[in-house]
Amino acid sequence: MIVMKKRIFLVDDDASITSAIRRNLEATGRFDVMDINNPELAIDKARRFKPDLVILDVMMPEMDGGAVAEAMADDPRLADVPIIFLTGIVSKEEVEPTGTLRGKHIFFAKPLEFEALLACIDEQV
Amino acid sequence: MTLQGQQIPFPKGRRYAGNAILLVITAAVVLYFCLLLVLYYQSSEELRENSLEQFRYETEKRVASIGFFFAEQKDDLMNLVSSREINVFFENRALGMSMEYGLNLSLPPIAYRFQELIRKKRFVSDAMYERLVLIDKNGSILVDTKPENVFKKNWKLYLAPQYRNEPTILLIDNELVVSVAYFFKGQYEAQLVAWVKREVITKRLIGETLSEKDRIWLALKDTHPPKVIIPQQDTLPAYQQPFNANKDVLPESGKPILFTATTKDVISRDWIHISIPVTGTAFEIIREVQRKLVLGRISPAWQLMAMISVALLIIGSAFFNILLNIKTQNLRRNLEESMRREVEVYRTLAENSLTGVFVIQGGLVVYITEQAALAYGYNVDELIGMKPGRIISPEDRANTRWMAIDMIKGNSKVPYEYSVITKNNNVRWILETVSPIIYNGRPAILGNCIDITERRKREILNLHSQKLESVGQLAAGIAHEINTPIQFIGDNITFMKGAFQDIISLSAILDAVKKDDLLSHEVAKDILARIQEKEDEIDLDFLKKEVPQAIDQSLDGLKRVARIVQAMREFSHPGGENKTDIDINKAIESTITLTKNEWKYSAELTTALAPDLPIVQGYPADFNQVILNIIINAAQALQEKGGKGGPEKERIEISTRQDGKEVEICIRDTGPGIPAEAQSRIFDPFFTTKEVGKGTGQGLSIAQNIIVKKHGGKIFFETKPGEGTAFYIRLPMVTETTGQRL
Repeated sequence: MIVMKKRIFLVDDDASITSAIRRNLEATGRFDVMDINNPELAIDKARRFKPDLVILDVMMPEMDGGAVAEAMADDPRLADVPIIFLTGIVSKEEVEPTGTLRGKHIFFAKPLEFEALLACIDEQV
Repeated sequence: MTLQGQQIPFPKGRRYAGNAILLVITAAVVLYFCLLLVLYYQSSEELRENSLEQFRYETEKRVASIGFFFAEQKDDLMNLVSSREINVFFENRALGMSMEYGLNLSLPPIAYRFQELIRKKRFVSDAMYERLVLIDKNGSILVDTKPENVFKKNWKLYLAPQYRNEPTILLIDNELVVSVAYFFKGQYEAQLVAWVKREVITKRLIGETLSEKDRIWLALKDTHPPKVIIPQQDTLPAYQQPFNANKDVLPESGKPILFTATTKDVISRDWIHISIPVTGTAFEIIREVQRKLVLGRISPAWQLMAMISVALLIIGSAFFNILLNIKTQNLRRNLEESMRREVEVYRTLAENSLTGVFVIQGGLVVYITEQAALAYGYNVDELIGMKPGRIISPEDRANTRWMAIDMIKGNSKVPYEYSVITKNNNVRWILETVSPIIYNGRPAILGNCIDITERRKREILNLHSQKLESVGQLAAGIAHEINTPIQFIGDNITFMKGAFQDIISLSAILDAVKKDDLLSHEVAKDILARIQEKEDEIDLDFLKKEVPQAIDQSLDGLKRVARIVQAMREFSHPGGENKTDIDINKAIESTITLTKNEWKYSAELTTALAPDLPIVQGYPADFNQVILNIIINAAQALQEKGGKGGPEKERIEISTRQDGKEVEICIRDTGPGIPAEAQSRIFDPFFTTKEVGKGTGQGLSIAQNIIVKKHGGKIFFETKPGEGTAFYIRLPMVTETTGQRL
């Protein structure tokens, strides 16, 4: 049986973050991952990649995660794609270990454990 | 202790005694002067009288001379009529001798005598007589020296009875003649008449001394106006028109009178007039002389008035001088009194002020208030005569000296701070100003000092709390900066853990192979197939590619964390109370690291740090705080401006350089600039333009305090609304070997 891999789109200005998450997700063998470090290119790349889920950093110099989420909401092809926000602004104690739903998006405080992220992804996709 | 050098002697009473003496002397001088004036006036009046008398006397002499002249002429004619020749004629005529019969012959001798008289009688070189005529009582002319001249009028006039009594000098036909009657045996027989030459009389009368201002006339007596005989056709000034009030007053003979006349030159002049009759004649001599020639130009009355005016002026001046003197003395006394009070006030101020006062002269303390001594932790007596540098903390001596010199030279007006070691070996902080003065007549240095130890402690606490505030402000950012590497290090370790388990599973197959010593070909093939299968399962190629990257990234992440922790440690360097060497560039880089999260979302920060920047002495933690405050301000200003990344990113540029004897740090941003109305207040404590919660308004105030007061440096800014702001910090350099300020 051929299982279709889920497509995960990763956006963070820090390449070390995106590559670390990417290699963990890829190591599961269940995900196709695209990671980009310039949020200004995010919408364009996402349209072509057609992700099942987007993981977004909140604070980025060029364009913050909120702005990227808004742009996705404005695009019919991306509007329904779930987003998981990773943020260093709020403390770990402020969010649940498995992420906190704020509005329609899930927030994780950095640093987070990969297993928690993976569980959340599995839940969403 | 008193400011003895400024004490002023109180005025003494002798100045008032001086005024009284001046008054007495002035009065004596004035009295003496008045006496002199009266004497002078009297003598002037006497002199005038004498001059007038002299004038009258001199005129009388002239009159006498003329009288004598006329008398001489009378004598001449008397001698002539008594002559034998005339007697012979009349004797012969009495004997009955007729003219036809010899009487004629008696006449030539008479004519001869006449001619002889005319020839002999001279005045200087001129003949006195012009003509001599002997007229018979019947009117016939017996002898005439100028028979050719016909009488203009009836010559019988000369025979008038009034001329027979005595020799007479009279004016007939405007001619001056001397007339003498001749009697023979008691009977009137003839009249002898002599014409006198006018020139001779004129010469005799006027002489050589007279002038236009001193004139003399011969006139007929009892005529008004006087009929002038000599000089002819002349008029006296006194009788010229218009005339003064004296014109109708007949001058009393022989007494000089004063009058005013307007002469032909139309200049009014005062004259003196005198008329004296010539005895034995019908004439008088009149003399008129300009008054100034006799009495002088100014009358004694005028002179007296002038001198009284001068005297009054002198008296007035003296009194004015005395009044002025009294006023000046009062003023001076008041001034001295107020100065004395002022000195008292200043002394009280100095002794009781919270600010200590001291004076240094010749390098030694010569005056110091108790307050100042207290600040230094000594007694007044212990400090007098001491070198002030001895109590300054050794590390502050050189810098304090330079700051004091700067202030004395007028280059700086900012009070400076330094620490001293008290008698009990405690450290105290002093805020001081110095200025050059003259003390006891010699150059000295006046110092004002305040003990700011408590303030300094508060400042340290303040600084510490601001530092804590900054740390709090930075905490979230620093946490983010640390969380990011922790995040990916954690992810990588998670990945490597999985990878390692995969490697272990592969390794288990290899372990099984090791246990079987005799591997058949089939078994080997099977093992290889399992290995291949396992490699595919664990995606060994993927692991070979990703694991080294994960390790490298993790190591890099650890370095990032270590760098931040190091920067935090450097930033929070507690330092000490003493200055130490600051590596300005390193301090700036640490602060940039710590603040990265503050500016990285709104600006691009670049540096241009001079690699060979000299070492500066100071307080590193305080200096870092200054750089931090300015960077935070710049970052917040750029956020306000809406700074975002991208090609049009706002910028913060930090540069360092050596400029002369100073190190300059410039922090420039491309923010909105400082509004004009805020520019003069940005260094004020608690002044802020930031929104609530973003700042307490202490950042730049503390920065100024640290740079100016603690480091003896300067902090200033340039700003252009809409274009940005540049803050400059300049710190004095030190030489590495001596620690002396350059």
